Amino acid sequence: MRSSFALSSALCVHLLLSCGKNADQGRKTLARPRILEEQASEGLYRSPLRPLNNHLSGFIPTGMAEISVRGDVVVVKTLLDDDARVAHRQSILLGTRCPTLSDDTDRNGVIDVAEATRASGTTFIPLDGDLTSAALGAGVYPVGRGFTYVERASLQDLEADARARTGQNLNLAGRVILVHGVSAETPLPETVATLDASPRQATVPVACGILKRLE
Amino acid sequence: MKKLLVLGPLLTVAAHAEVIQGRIQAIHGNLVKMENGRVAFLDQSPETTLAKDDVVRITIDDRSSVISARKLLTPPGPLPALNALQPEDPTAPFVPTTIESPGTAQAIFDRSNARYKRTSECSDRAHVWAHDEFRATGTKSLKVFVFFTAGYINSVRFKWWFHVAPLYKVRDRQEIRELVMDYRYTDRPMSVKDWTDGFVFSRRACKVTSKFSDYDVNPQTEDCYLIFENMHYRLPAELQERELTGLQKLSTSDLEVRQSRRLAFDP
Repeated sequence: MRSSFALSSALCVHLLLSCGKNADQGRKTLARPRILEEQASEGLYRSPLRPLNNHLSGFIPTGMAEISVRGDVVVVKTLLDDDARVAHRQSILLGTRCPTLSDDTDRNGVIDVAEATRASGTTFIPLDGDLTSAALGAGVYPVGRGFTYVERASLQDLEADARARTGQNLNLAGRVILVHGVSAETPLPETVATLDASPRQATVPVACGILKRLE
Repeated sequence: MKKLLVLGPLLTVAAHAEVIQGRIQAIHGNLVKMENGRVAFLDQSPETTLAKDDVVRITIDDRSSVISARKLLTPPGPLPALNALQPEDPTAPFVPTTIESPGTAQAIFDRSNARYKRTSECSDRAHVWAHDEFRATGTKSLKVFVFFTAGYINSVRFKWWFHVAPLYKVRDRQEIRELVMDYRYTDRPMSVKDWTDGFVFSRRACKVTSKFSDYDVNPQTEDCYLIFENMHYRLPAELQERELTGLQKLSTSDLEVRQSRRLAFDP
């Protein structure tokens, strides 16, 4: 597996250069062979996304997350149904379990983003408009109701960005995927925490899953 | 026969509409209950007549309010599953298997077919999960149906009027527990109360009954009802039929499982 991975990665480097990626990108790729060896194994990772904070609307969102790693290409696909028609912030977190009602430490009946982060870890990779950079594409998230999100990235670029921010390798198995966002009209207690200046409704977690390696 | 009128198709179509199609199981007040479990709300002045057993195509908005509805020409034939109803045989009652440990129950849960379609119905998923396990290991399970009352549905604009999942009897030390395995909505086997708490936001316990008619009456003072049946029951219509005829469903045809699999799962 490793040798074929290395071979396909080398092939990808060639293809990337051939397909018009600029010279800087090519050099960056070639300069990090060791990191490649530490990255996630090729394979398919999947998790059902199951509802959290079900009571916040009469619709109980469920979905699926799937990440394939083939050579230097990472394809992330998430989908969610029965969700609110809002932008859904979503990310892979560094933890290994989804939050439960027992993580609602302030007992306001809602697992908010702060409580979810304490239970499931901080953000590893934002699943937004640009997987390879936490800065680029930030804030560009899929919009429900019933969304399908597909985004591709270079494994090396993804690894480099995630590693620079978190010090972690791109090991996907066992990681948490968390999706946020209920309707702006959803009433929430004042004690529900949020991120930045975002409305509480935008950051309330609505679905979660744990990635499992399938192949 | 109770009849209601719904909006005609000429009204403005919302920018974000969803279409639900199928047979009407019942109409209660402002609620149109579809056979597949979905609910549509009649919130505006009606124009078209709808009735129980009509096969319809209904367009709903974000809040499940009916925008338009039209009847389809498909005649409401007999439900395929009802062909399997048989006289109850007191000498051969259905006895569910007792799973030997919570670990074994977790293993059953983990091997549930996860390739369900986005738009699949709970009744088809539950049917396939239960019968796949039976075919693989010979384990006989139960089904637990939860029925949401009109009062509850209206109070939270709930999307469904019923939900169903496989239920297993599991030995846990000296105790036999009943654990629901609802792979799409929960991450582990769980007690019936924990399961219903995920859908009944009041966390009020559901009243257990064996008669569909207990649920199907007005006024409905409960939030929800539970009916436990053997693994061969797929739809509420079969529970209703059992009550009306006294016939039990004690088997499932291959055709029925294939149909559920085709409807609910990717190949």
